[in-house]
Amino acid sequence: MSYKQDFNVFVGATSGAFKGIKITDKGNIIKNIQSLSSITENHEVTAMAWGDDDEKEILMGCGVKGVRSVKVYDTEYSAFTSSFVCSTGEGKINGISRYSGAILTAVKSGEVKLWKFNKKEQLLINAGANLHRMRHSHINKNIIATGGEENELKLFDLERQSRIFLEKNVRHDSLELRVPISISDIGFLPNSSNVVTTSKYGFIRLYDPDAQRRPVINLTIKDEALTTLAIAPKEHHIVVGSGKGRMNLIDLRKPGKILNTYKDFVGSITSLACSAVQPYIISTGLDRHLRIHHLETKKLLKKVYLTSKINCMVLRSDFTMKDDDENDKIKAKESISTSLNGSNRDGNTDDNEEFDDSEAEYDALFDKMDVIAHDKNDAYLAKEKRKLPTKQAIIVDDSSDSEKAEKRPKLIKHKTSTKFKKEYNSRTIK
Amino acid sequence: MKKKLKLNPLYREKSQEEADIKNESEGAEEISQEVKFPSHNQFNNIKCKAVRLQKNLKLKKEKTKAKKEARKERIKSGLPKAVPHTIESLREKDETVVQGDIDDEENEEIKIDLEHDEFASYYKHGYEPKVLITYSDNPLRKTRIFGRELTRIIPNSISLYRNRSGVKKMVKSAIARGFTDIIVINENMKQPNGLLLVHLPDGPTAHFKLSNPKITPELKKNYREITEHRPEVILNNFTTRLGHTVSRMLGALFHYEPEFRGRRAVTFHNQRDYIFFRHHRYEFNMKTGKPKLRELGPRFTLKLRSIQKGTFDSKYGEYEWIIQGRRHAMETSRRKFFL
Repeated sequence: MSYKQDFNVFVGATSGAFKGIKITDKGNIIKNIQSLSSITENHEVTAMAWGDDDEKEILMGCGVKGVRSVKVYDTEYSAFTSSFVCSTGEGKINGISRYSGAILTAVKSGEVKLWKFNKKEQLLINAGANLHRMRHSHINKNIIATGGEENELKLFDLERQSRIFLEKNVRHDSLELRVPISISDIGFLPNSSNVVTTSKYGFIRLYDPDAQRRPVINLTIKDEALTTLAIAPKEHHIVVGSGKGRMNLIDLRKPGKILNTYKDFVGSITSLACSAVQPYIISTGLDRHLRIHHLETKKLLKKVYLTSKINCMVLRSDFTMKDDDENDKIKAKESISTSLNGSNRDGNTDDNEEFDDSEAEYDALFDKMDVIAHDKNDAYLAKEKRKLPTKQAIIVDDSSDSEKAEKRPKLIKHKTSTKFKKEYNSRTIK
Repeated sequence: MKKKLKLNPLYREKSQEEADIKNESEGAEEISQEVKFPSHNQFNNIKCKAVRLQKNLKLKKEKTKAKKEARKERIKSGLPKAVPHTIESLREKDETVVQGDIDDEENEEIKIDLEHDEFASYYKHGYEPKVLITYSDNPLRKTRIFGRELTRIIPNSISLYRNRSGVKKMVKSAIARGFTDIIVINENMKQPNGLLLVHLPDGPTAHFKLSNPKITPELKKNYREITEHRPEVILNNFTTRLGHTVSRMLGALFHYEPEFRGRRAVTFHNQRDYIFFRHHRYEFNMKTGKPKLRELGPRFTLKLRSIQKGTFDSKYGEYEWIIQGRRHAMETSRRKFFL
């Protein structure tokens, strides 16, 4: 696929510039896709997202005051394919995505609109004033989440056209004062219905819409105004960035923990993304730099000067810093391993051969094993359920989405993942 | 070399010789293989303070005289001036430094960026700046005078007491009253020590450390000498992208059309990230064409601490650049500068 080899990061700047960047170990190629001479006064890129799962097209929301516009850039043909003026509501576009072929935009005044060609099919949701962020779930395409300044987290189902979740604010603090709400970013955790939010007041909150309206986990980073978050390629981990340039890895398993701090920032972090195939965190900020940190070692791997203040970024999920030919090799290797496994695996992968082999070995081992759950009768299962409600819950989560899980005994799979991680960690230390 | 401990203090030839050696080395730039000893003052052993002082002064005078002569000789012989190695000339390379002219092709993006930033309309002569100068609560004498003198320097500015108002509140009311900038002078131990500069209505906000403030009485000047004419503004030596932002911010405080009749010049000179402020009246010597300067005061030094996107929100705002909490990480070398 040639278009995937072109640029692997796209950024939008406050000045209105839109750039494609190809980052490799050897060097970087930075190109202004939007021609600089065509940039006008009200052109600031405020929101960016991939339009489809293949990561072929990029949706952009431009403009702050007055006329705001939406543009669609096709990376395959490297051209802007369409654009229209977003006329609903007021204020900048804070979220953009594609739903069933049409573009969905959310503006600051709270209007979330689905721009269908047929005007009767157009959908308008009012999500409340001072909306800061709208995010579309990757897992369930029907669900969007919104939130903002004194605007609670809301989940909407676009198919049923109804609100399915409304957050309840946390209890008053020790002085019996109301805790203010200011959601700055929202993320959907993979393999679950959980939603995580960051707040301007330094709160990181994990919501389980199936369980309760109040957050399940509430963490605070003191004196930091969190601006953005990204889902890390580690289970139940996210990365958050702040307005003073602090970036942390957060563990969202109970009771929640603030882990690694990544350094070298001099200004606010505006956008974060993680590569799915490599343990890299890519961040952009108002300090005009793009940085790549290693997730585990916290090392700064790359720092690229981008001339303008960067507002938003989209990253190819298969981002690596390897060159193309090397990349192809990895892909070939991956395809071999997947054919061995008989199913596609995602999450952490490494280009190391040994590593792949051991993984395949493990898989073979578990394929041979008897399925425990089938041996036991239902009564026993029910008993176990009562005994270990938490563990069982994990099993349910795992089985819900992956085909692979059906074949294997789930509990053991859980074990393998830890073992896998252990080995992975030891490898990284070496 | 002999030790000079027991030399007759009135013995002078030696020092003359030394001066000559110096002259030669300066002129020809020869690298002498001689071992260098730490400087030793030959008059230190004179017990009488008055005589010692006299001798030292005399020696100093001679030295400067020799230096001057050496320079004259160099100019006569037409040798080029040697460039001294300073930490500034050996500055660490910074990729954000704006190379060449702003109109160059490779700087097009920066130009576009500047054309669309918050000061673009000022630099297109879109509005006349109107500045509010205020203080921390209960300013004392020097800070008050300092602020009042700033109002004389910055045209169309007024100084008001704060009346315990918050900065965010002031920002709101100042926007409503058509101000374009707010300056807040902070005070500590009876000395002005901080300067907050808020550009209205959409920011940015810069916070500076203010040091060595000298008001006009301390410079033995009279504030009445400062005329009402709009001054010329000189922004000097701002090289990086951040430096450009800061200089644009400082420049946007003054009216874009100076009144040359007043012959007043305001200078913000950046050297090693310290921004030196000076205020002069100049006069051209009609015969030689050279300018004469007379400092009018006040003078002070600024050092950038943070620059913030939007108006003042120190706790929850988004910073473009901040040094607080990461000085060890950022100040990696004496030769690294940010402006």
